[in-house]
Amino acid sequence: MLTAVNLIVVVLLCATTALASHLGVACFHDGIRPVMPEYLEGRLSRPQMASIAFGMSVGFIASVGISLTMTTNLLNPWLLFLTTDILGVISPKKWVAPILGGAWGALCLTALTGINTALTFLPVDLIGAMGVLQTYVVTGFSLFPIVAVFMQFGKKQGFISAVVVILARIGGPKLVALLTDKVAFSEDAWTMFIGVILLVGFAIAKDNKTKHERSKEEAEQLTNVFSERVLRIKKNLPLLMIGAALIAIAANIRIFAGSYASVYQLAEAYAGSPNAASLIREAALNEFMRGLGFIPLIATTAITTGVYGVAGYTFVYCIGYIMPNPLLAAVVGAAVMFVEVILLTFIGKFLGKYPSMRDASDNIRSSMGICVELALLIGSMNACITMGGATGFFIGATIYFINEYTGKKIMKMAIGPVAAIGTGLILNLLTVVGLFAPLA
Amino acid sequence: MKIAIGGLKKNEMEAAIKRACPDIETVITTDMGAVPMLKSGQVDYYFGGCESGGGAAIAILIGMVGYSKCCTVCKNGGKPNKEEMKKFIDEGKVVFGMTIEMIDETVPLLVEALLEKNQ
Repeated sequence: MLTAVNLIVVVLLCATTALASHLGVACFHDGIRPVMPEYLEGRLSRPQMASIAFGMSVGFIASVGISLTMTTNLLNPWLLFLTTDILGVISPKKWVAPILGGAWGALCLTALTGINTALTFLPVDLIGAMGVLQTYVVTGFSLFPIVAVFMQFGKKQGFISAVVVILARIGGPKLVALLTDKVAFSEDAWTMFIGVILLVGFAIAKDNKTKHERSKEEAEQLTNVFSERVLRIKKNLPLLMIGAALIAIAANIRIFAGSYASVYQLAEAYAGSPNAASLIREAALNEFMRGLGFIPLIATTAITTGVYGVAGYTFVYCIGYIMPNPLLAAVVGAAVMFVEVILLTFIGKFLGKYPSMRDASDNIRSSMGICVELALLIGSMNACITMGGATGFFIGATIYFINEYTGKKIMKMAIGPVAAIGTGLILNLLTVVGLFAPLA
Repeated sequence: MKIAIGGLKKNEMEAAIKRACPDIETVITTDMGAVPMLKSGQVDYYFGGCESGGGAAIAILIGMVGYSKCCTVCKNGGKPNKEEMKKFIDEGKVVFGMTIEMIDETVPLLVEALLEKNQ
């Protein structure tokens, strides 16, 4: 993990994103973006802005950022970029931002390597249990279109989708195997593919029924009022493209994963799974689907603020996973960022014309979160049981309930993994003092 | 009182508002859809949820309605505080963002504070 190349890439990457945040060019947190102009135009002071950035991000860094990295051995945007958002904002001078950012990158990579080495020496196997934790994440993620249909269109369409998707999940791969004697896609890919088609189908059907008279004006308003801000993003393209290239390289050299939609498959593939190639392909596909769900949010916040996302629509992650070498990843990553920014005005107009796309985007993001949360919670409890049987379950569930009734300090997405890590550490401690015998 | 709902987990948000006060009219829309509603007075307030309470929930509203009218009433990992909400309402805030983790805890307090203000 800790090689000179890896270290240089992470340091450069974090230095760049911290600088981007300092200059108000781009930040990762969608909530910091709209506040950024208030600060850049002088209505908020630097300390005020810093406290907002810190308050909004610290929960994500501590829970999602750290637990994703500890369970997968891969760095992630919540850990790296949310922190560089804050570091960029608190830096009083331009040259301080990249130094702080780079130092954070170096710290994360060295700490990760150190922790991982330490964990391998524990009597109760924590690393193996982390593999159990991710068992159902991919299947859970593939369920999201069904949940989104329930949310947006109600009971009847929801039930229909559920039945159709289950049939496609079981029947699809069998049918393809019968016709071509090859297995082209996994059951999970089928589940997601058919689900997304149903979701889009219902949305188009609904849009055709209701007319949006006012929405054309809104679309014009959105892109006209904010044309200066779009211009600002275009001027900042060089730095954005450097950032994108570095993200793609980091993903390509296998030290970085973009989100919960891909990180567990990637971790399994990089750990030497026999079907690594197909795992990486599916990770890229999941990441791509997640990226689609985020386009409306990122595009509209970018247009209204003039501040872009450090990873754009997050398609650069996919580029990193699938490119054959780091050089190609860098070039294509930068190119993707270029195209995204150039198309920004067009996407803004499109979203204004089809408000149901934004509505769908809200529901898609809600349902992706809900599905992964459930899968992670169940996987995490299984991991607890793998490590400690009923005692493991007892400790894991206790940690879960403590969080639940003390103000939910740890986010739903992270409480499962945090409970599993906590259980592993406690079981090891009990073993050391002779109160627990590791299961065979 | 009429409240527009946008952001994540809109169904949960609506249910929480109705539980807190069944007489409040709600309309489920999007952040962008809520902008003209707020400007034309078609709705009085906007509630939005997202992971952090300040991101997807109110980002567009900050850009299009103005930062001075928007606030986050419950951050991720935070605790809703009625006194703080009252202060926001007195300052003229009409757009309220909150973390989706705490919808059930935040909405009743916010609705109470708004009802008290409008009495």
